Amino acid sequence: MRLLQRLGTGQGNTAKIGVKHICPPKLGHHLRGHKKPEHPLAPPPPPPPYVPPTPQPAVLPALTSPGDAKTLAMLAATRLSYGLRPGELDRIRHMGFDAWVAEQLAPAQIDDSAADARLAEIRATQQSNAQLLDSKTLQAEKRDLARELVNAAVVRAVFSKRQLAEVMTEFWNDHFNIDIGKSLCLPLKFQDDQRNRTHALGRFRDLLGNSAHSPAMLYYLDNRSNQAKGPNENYAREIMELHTLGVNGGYTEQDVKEVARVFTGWTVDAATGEFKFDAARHDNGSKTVLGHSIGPGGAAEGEQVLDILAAHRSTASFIARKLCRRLVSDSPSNALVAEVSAVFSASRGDIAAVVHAIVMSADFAASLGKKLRRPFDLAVAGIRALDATLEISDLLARAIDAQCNAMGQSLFRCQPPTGYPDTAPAWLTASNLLARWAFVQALAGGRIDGVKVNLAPLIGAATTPEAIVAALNQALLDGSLPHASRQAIAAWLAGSQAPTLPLTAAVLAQRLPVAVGLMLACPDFQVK
Amino acid sequence: MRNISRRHFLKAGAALAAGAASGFLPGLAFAAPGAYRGDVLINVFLRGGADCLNLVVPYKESAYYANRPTIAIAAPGSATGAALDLDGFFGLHPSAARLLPWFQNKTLAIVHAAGSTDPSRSHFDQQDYIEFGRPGFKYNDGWIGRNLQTLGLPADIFTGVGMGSHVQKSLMGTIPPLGVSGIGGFRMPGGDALKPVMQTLYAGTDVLAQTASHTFAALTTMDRLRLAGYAPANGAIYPANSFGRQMANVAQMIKEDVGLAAACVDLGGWDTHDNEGGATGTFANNVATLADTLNALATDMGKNMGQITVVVMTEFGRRLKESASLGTDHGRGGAMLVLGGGILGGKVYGQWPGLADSALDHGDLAVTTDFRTVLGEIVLKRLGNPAIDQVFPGFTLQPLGLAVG
Repeated sequence: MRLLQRLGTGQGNTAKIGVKHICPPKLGHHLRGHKKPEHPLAPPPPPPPYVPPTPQPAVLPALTSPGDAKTLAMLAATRLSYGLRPGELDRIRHMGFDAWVAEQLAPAQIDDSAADARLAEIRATQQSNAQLLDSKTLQAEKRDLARELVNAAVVRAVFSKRQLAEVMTEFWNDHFNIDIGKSLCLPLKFQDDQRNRTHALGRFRDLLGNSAHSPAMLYYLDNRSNQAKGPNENYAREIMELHTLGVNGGYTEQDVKEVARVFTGWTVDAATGEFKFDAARHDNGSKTVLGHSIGPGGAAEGEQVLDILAAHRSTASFIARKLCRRLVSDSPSNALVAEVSAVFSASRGDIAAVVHAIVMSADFAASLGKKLRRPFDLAVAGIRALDATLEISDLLARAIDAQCNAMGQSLFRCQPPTGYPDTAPAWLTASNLLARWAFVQALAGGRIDGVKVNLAPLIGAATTPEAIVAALNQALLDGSLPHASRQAIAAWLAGSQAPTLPLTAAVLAQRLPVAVGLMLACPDFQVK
Repeated sequence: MRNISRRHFLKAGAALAAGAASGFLPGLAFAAPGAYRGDVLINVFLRGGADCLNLVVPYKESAYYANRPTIAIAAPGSATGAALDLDGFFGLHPSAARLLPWFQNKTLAIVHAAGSTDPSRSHFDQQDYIEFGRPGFKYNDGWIGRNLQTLGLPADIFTGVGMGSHVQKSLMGTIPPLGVSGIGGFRMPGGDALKPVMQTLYAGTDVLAQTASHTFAALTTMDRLRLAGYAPANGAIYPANSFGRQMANVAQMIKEDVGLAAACVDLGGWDTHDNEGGATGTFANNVATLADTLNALATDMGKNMGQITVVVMTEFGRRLKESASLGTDHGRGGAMLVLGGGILGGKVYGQWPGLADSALDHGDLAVTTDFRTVLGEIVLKRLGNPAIDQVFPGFTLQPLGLAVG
């Protein structure tokens, strides 16, 4: 409760957003008069298009983490970022953890022009849904959008200075999971991803609203075809089970059916690939959702239900637990979850405030090494640690996707709507572990297409196995590698000679990539 | 098949009866962990809630056709793409044609209107309830894991194998399952010279180190299997997709005597809310993958199916009425397929509740057979484990009589 009192109540604007983009009530009444609206004599005026809300910077209290500076810097660089880059730990320690967090919680204030310049090489990131749905042109241009999507994710995770916002974007992409293998989800995922990014540290109601209006989501969970004459419950169920309340959050099967009716007519405009409310397909009867009377009110009904779900107590604790599981440990303490859940409620779903509360907690400060890196995270952390250069092409995306797939994470292709799991055992099959070791060996050996590594700067002037391992330990693991592991790698580097004797240049060139691979294969690098 | 004489079938008389019924010879055996004498269990989970009303079609029900004007499968003989008659009331989806001979030779049994006693229509809850083996509860171990444990099997590397990118929860237990994506990629990166170094790096006791230790132990056997390659017997052809490849891997592990007692293989893509299709389309393609793979396995195993039991299940069936999206929403009652030489096949088991409005469970086929009734009988009779109360806590078994034993 301590954090909650400091935060006070947030300046929630959920209610306002709820009514900002709805179709005017008059339109709803007008349409209700029609018995069979499929062939109206005069088409009704088109409702206004969906305009995503503008994120507003959070006003956060001054908080101080109880942790020690060295540990907190590693947590900032590995848990709240995609891994160490040369110089990054020094920067964080110089700034101080609290200031670094404050910087990262206001991503719009961070100049990210270098990453943006790289992103400009990936055309899909600059295009509209309509352009991305123009498959003829894309074919003529010989473009593969799946490769562009993976490349964009890699470039952002590796190069963006808004690291915490990227970590959170991945969280929301998992939370509002979309499998690009389904229907038209791939071309529409770019917009969905970007809106998750824009609001990654914004308000939950905005994230939820964007997702409900997301053409990719409308395809993925079939709400596109949800209509009065035969409702489709897919989205209605998952928005409560997976996006807001949680499976034990207090809804019934009847609520699923009612929410499905509420979202009838929420669909995608085939011409533009943008959201469209089709009043003719909307069920204009009245509904009851979680005890609230809804409608009739056209698209406003859905906004009202989104308001109810976003503000629900179960949503606060469900999202709090998921965020703690992502950012702290596989099994966060109930006390932390309760505290964070209270911040969620008091701030009316201000994610920056919620994340701030989590990362300033004592549990977070004591959590270094408690999270397994998921495959994509490992791939990016490896690239960052080696300060590799990327050549953006289909080859790069294909290589990273294939590696992640072998480790158990086919990127943006999680089929069930849960999104990829967030706990270590789910990722640790024997095959996946071998694939992790294979990836880091290939990376250090320069055998990943599109990724160029230069290992020499990692070891500086060191020439003996012991000195080389000490340098690598410092550069890649902040000096945390256990003695037995250091010895084992040094002994392997040394071969038949003593680990205190210098290696010849030829031997070093041959063995250094494998030694670096071993460093990255260590459990110490697999976790964060 | 190596060392086929190492083990003798425990219930030779009963097996002989089964063999006589379905053409399998008893007495052939695989090297199993410890003194295990039961069948190798292969559990296939259809993830997403398979539409079992279109897989095993109740073609005599007029309500089936009335509720599914677009996606229904026609009654046998009435059209192209019609159901394949099983018993005068039910018919198989036409894409499951390769399963029909196994039903006819009594190797394949079907249980309809089967499912969980918990009413949840959530994929994830229901998959958990079924895999943990107790509707409404979640454990840290699954029904197969508890079965292996109460059988007293040693915690050998290959006792329980989970195929795919994640280990199935049903296998969780005191005998750590081995998670395998494929035999092909199962090798030590950088070569065997790195293995001792890696063993030092992974000398800890946490979950990473445990998985690593298991992985190191499996490498020698996997190297042998990979280098040997695999040629299925009897002209069997596994489909060239991941489900087919994974099942072929399981077949190879059985034949190569790695000591397999139970394996899990998943087939996803059954969540057909939208554009499900009927005799052709998304669902039909998935049915073909399932049927062609099971056919390949049974063909490949030949008479050794006498010591294998395959159980196919899903978290729930789907709504009777098709939606305007030409698909079906989450439902209740599903179906289970049981394939093996020790199975009294050729019959659709279970109590058919009918599809009249009054018989439906909120618009869905009702569940009349608890999935544990089917699994429990297999555990008892085919896997030789009487500890049903520990495998399925709180459950009392009343077998349907679909297995010999």
